Amino acid sequence: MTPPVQLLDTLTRIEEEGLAAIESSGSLDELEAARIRYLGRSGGLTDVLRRLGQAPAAQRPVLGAAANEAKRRLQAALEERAVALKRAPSTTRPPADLTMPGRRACWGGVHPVTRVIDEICEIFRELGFSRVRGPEAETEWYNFEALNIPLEHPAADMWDTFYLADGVLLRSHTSPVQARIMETHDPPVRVVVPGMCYRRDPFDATHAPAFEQIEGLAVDEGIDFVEFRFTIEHFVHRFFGKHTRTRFRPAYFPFTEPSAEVDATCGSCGGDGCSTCKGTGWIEIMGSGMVHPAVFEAVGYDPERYTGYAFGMGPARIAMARYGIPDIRLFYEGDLRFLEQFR
Amino acid sequence: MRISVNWVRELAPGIEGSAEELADHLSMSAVAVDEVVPVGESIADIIVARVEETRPHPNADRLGLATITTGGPERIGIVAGAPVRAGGLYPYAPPGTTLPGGLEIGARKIRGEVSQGMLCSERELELGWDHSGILELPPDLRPGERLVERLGFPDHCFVLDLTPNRVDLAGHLGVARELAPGGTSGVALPSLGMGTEPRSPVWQDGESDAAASGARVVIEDLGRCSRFLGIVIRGVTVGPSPAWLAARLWAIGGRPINNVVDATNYVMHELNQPLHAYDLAMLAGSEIRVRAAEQGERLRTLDRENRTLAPDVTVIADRDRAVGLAGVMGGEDTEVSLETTDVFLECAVFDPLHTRRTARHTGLATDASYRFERGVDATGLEAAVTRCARLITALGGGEAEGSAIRAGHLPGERPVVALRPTRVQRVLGRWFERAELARILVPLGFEPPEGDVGGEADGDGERPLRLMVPGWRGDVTHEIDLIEEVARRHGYNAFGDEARAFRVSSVADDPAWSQADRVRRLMVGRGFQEVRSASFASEARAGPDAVTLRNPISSAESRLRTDLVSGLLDRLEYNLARGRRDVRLFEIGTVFRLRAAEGVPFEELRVAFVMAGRRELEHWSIEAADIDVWDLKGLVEDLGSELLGATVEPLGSRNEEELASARLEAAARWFDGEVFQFRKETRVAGLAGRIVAEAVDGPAGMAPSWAAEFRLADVVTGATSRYVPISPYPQVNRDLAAIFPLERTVAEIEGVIRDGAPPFLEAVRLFDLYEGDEIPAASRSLAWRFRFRAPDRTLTDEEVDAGMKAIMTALEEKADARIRSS
Repeated sequence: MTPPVQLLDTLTRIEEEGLAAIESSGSLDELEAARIRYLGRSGGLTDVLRRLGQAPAAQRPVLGAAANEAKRRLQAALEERAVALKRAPSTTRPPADLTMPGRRACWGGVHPVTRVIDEICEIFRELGFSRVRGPEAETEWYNFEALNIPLEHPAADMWDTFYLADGVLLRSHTSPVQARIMETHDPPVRVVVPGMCYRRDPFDATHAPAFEQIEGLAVDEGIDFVEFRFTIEHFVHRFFGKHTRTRFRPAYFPFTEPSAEVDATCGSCGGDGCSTCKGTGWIEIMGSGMVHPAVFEAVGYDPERYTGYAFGMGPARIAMARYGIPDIRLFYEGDLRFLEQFR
Repeated sequence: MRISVNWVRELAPGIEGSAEELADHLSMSAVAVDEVVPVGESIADIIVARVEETRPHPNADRLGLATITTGGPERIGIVAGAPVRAGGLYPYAPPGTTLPGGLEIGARKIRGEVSQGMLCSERELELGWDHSGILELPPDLRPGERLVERLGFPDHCFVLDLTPNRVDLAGHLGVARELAPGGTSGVALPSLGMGTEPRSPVWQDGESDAAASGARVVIEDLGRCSRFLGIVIRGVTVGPSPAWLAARLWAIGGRPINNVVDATNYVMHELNQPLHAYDLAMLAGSEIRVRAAEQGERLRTLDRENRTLAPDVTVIADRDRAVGLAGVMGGEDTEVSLETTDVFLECAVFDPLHTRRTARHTGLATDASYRFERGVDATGLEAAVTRCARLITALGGGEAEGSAIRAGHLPGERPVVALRPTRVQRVLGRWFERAELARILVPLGFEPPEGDVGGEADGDGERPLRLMVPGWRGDVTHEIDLIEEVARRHGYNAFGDEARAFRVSSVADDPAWSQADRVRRLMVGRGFQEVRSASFASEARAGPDAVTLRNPISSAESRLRTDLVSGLLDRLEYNLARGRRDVRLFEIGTVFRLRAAEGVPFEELRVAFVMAGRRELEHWSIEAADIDVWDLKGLVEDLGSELLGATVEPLGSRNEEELASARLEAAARWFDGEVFQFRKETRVAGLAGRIVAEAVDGPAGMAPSWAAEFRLADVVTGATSRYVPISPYPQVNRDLAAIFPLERTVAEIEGVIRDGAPPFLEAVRLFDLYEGDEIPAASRSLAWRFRFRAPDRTLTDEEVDAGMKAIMTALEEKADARIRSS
């Protein structure tokens, strides 16, 4: 049986050795080895504590307190050393050149035209419009006749159309969706319709044979030109900024009357006139108007009871004005040097 | 459409304001003015010169020498670059002047002969495009006069972006009505030197008598021509037009031809009624017939083209043959020339649709066809033909013969349209008093029928204002058309802008848009750039069952795409060709397929991506490896679970039929070797894999490209997740390595594991594959980490051991495993 005094000496020795080992640890690994050796499950201090039971009952409190104190000091030294070791600069390597490039992840991007579409839709969704869609391959009925466009009329020349079969075509605007929605839903109707349209235009700096359009339609009792103007001006302020001014000009679309072309003050020059707006100070942003009664008749709405407005805009054209893009073809080439500019 | 501002001012002397102000006014109230072009602004220095004599240039065949005079005694020597004739008048730029194009004129020697200034072409004066010769000026000018003054320049020309409904604005009178204070009451036709006493001809209606009127007119098909007026004028001296008339035509981009033709053009541009003059002597039988062309009938038109006609085409014929395209263009044989003395003048109403067909068949679009296609004023023919005949006799002498011919239908009554003030308010959101409505509309030519009093005191707003539509406004047929007139004349921007009551749309969002939003977020986060491309494809790219365009722009775009991958491969090549090595693109777009019965094709929205190059961005610390099959599979597994609720499995050959029913064979063409399919429930929802090497034209030694395509409609939106309680008890991990024959797939083995495992197996993860020396041939070592955890207790070692034992037994019995370690 080990005399108690001897046990106390052992305790002191273990503590001194342990502290020295901790102090001299040069790395976290060495420190961990010291911890296991002195504080581990089969380490020196644990061994002493285990043997405490063999000491005379009267001495146990003193010894116990001493052992716990030794353990606390060792642990404190351990933590202190660990912090110091972690903080210590590597002795083998010079400090890193932190101007070197970091390891970056590969990020993609949303197409600039999609960005514009999303932004436009978001503004109209806040106004209670839902996003709908319709087929790109359409019938003459929906693309023309239901929209009050007689087929063999100069008005039909406003859209040079791709044909797929007799009476079947690629829609030349998103407006056919107006008729489709009204046929299947009762008022109040408030929708925006993003989608691709097709026209037999040569592919040049300002024309694409396939391009995006966003259509809007609001129909109910009591919708008038004043509300139409409010909605469009609200949109222009939200999209182009609240200092942007709006003007409405007479226009002709067979499916709206009165029809209006909407201009917004040019964002590049603020309305003073520059090359973007061809010196006029204005940028044409949409065709619009009050829904023509003949369209209501074609879809089975009572034109005496319901009124409404409709509008259509080209997000690619808007993106060109917004980002200063000179050629519409850039949108459809898929050139990463172009697309990666829009983040 | 070009409109001369001076001309408009002459028709409506009350118009004030600069050309720009007038253009702005028109744009804001009627029709967009695209451009205001100055006319004759910079010809201030040009004077009229008469050529006294000409002789050849001694040193140059193509040049001539001319002596000219500008009215004084001085004789000036000129080297002329094109023929001139003695006695002719020409525009002369003296030394020290500047041409409109900026060319400074001096006295200079040309091939040894001194030219004191120059004689100019039409183009040099910016009066037209002709540069083939020196412009011979109208004979009523005098040498020494300043051209700009005699032509009434400077002028401005509006380039109008005419809409199909406002054909009336193609004529100067129409524009004058829009701009004149007081509208119709503020315009008057100038006398043009014809005297003030208009002599109305005696009209002979119906089947005309050649003896009384000098010609006979027969309309064979009233559907093609509802009305036809003609006048014979005999004894005309055809010659050049006077300066004022030439100036009018120059100002709108036209060219003077001769006094008779110029008179018809002048009246057309003034009154908006197309007219045509024939050389009567060339009309066989002095007869005019309007009829369908015969199949194969031939006609040489005024533009010197020989045309072969078909019954679609409406012609003007004489007794023997076609002499003109009705409403489109005259024929060469009956053209009015300097030899002509007797003229037959035509003014008619040709049917819009038939004019359109005639124009389309011949590929012509003329000033006349433009007007007939949109509808001319049937009530205005008499005035136009009379005015034109008088202008011709005023310019070229001669006399209108006996009676004038009037064949076809009489124009109908002017339609009356009712306008309810309450309806105006419902559409426009502003109340207009009846008197206010009348004040806006009457000046535009909308008049109350006799008996109705316009602008009376206000009464019941439902009681309509009844208005007769003027003949030139054939576009106004309904109340809404009048409401538009009210709105535009009041000024669109003079209306208020107020929010009205909010209404909840009865239409639900189409899920495609939120599905597309989800796809974009995920793909962008994974490093993909969105592209958008046209839906066209070449025959080769489109594959079988593609929809063919009837009128493609080019053969490379003659079909509609049947898959998205093919287009993405084009975009990939585009970037590779520009030196890019790492390319990740995705697209959301529509694909099309023929249906069994020809009609509206099948279409659906798809998502596709393509990737090529390295797994990670280049960095100095690593050598990034090329994308391999496991990058692809991991990505599509993520897409499968995150977007589609689909599993991903290798594609077996058994799936041809499934691919066809999923309409994915077109996309499948591009995959080769390592190919996967998305499986959603029992359907194939998409494809992914390695791209056939030959399909991508990239740099030599390029690593494979990878792609996928799936249906947007399969993207899951909405909440599909359910909460699973989280166990508070600890997990136990165990590893297991075993050797398997190569034919045992991991999917199969993991199936065996799951079947044999205890319910508290939480997860299995393959973490090692080894095929080294110690492993027998045709087999491989695979190692998994198992995670065990029970929801209700801490697992004991014994339980876990028993579970591992069960798994090992199952593997040995059902998967031919040889356990290496556990």
